[in-house]
Amino acid sequence: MAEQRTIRVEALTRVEGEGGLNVRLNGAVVEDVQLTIYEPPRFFEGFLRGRPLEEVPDITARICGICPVAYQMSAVHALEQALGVTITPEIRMYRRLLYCGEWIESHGLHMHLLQAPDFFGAASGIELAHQFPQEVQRGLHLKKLGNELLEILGGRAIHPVNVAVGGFHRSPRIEDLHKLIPKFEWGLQAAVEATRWVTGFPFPDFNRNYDLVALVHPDEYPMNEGRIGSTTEPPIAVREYERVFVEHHVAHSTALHSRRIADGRCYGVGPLARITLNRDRLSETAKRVADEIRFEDRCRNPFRAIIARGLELIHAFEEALQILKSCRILRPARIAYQPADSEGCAATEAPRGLIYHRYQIDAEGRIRFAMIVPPTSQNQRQIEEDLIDWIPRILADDDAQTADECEKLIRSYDPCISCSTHFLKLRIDRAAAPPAEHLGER
Amino acid sequence: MMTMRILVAGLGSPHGDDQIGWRVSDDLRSRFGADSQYTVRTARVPLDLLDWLFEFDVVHLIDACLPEPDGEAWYQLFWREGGLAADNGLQVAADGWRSSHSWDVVSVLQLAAQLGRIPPLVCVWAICIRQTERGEEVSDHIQAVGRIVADRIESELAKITARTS
Repeated sequence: MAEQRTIRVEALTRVEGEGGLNVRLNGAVVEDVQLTIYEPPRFFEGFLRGRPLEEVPDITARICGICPVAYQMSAVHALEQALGVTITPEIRMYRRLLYCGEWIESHGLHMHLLQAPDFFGAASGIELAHQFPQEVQRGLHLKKLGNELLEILGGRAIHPVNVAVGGFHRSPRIEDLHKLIPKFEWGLQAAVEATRWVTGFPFPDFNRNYDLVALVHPDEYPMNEGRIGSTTEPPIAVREYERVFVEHHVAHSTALHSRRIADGRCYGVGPLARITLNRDRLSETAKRVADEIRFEDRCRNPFRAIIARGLELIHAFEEALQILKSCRILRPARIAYQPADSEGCAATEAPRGLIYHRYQIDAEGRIRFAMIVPPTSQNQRQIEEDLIDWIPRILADDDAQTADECEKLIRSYDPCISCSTHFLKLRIDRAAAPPAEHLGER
Repeated sequence: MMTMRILVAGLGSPHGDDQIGWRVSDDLRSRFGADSQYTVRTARVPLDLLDWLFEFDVVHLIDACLPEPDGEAWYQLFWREGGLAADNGLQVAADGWRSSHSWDVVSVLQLAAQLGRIPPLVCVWAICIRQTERGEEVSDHIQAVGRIVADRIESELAKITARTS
């Protein structure tokens, strides 16, 4: 009779926040994989009701302490769509600059300190720093540059306060932005070096066919605007998102999963999706490096997403430099609007992938309804399906070793679950588990 | 006499009492004023500290922690020989500082030491908290403890400044 085992990781390490993993095996057959993530946006959707729309950027920034800009950008674009606000090209440009800052900070950190240790047998960035002190220093410096940009544009490092419906509360100080130019010129070269470094990592041979979803745009590498593209389906307008994709509850997690309505397929968002769908719109240096390292046009290995992050890091620095060198005082900093009974939606590209917001506003300018779909929840089912395929290839007699390999795959998605306040203790359970009750949901 | 470069940094998250590090920093920033010789900052995550540590000679960090059985309201810990310890012998275990973020204070300080960025004096003020509910403010009791800790930090910095002036 085949051995039944349950491998449980109650606290994933080197991810933003807290999450867990349960794997039930019958011999070498994976019977069930459950990725447990606490989802805060569901709380915030209720919390926003009745609040003045002007408060939405500040409130949504607190959904995630690590990537507040993504929530703010999606919120303001959705509210502006509802109110018929057209921002100026200059406001649009500064918002892209702000997003560049968040991509730089997030990708720089993840590449060097969260995922890189996995490729060198290092349990942490501390151990990696022993082997690669200059590279770790570089990653920290890249992260710092992203934070500096966020602080100048956003008003402060923690939960930027300068983002407003209609634009910004005030123009950034141009002299402060110009001081970043030499630093960002260093950053661009450092990003190129970082990308070349990660390209040489010993990636496992693991490829799957994915339905990759990201914004697509005819003229630029998408951040705040575009249609929703896919590697398997024609692009759709953002307003069609809920006609095509749906969130649903699963019994094993308080988080929601996402799937396509038509056939129930899961899909994936993030840097691999963006680069696959928008490679020709990367900056010149990013495109050149992508060709130099022979990055696949259609990469299907989730571990190689670290290279995609490197290419986006290059792009973010190059685009940021272009903006920094040409920026002027923002006048007007903000476009006026009148509250109205209205509804709007928007999708932007957080560092970890597509994020979708929809709001209904009443005649007094208060939020009547809010819907927020973060990228990590959209990736959950795909991560679980990856693990179902991955585990038989790496299964070991030692549960800890198997769990470690599972965590490496999860980390390649750079999940952002930092809002969780559940502190769980690590424990490996070798007892046979009761039958899963949720398999019917698959 | 060399001027000591002194940083006070509060750590936290936007969840209930876990904001106390930020609150103490804000309190001290108000007390010191805009022209203060001390640098006061707030950090989203402990990793932010790595951007700053090498710039300073003295660093005071304020963060929340879960209560210990001894019932203390707060602890003053010093970075010594690769770990955090109090003057009374209390030591923080190597894996004893769980964070609401991906990196905890101990790990960040270990990384700083590995990279040669650890300042000569690092003091961590750990305030024992009760609730970390999303959307909640800092509880009154914890705010009171925060004011006491701010008083202690202000006093200690005054002593350092007096010794070096």
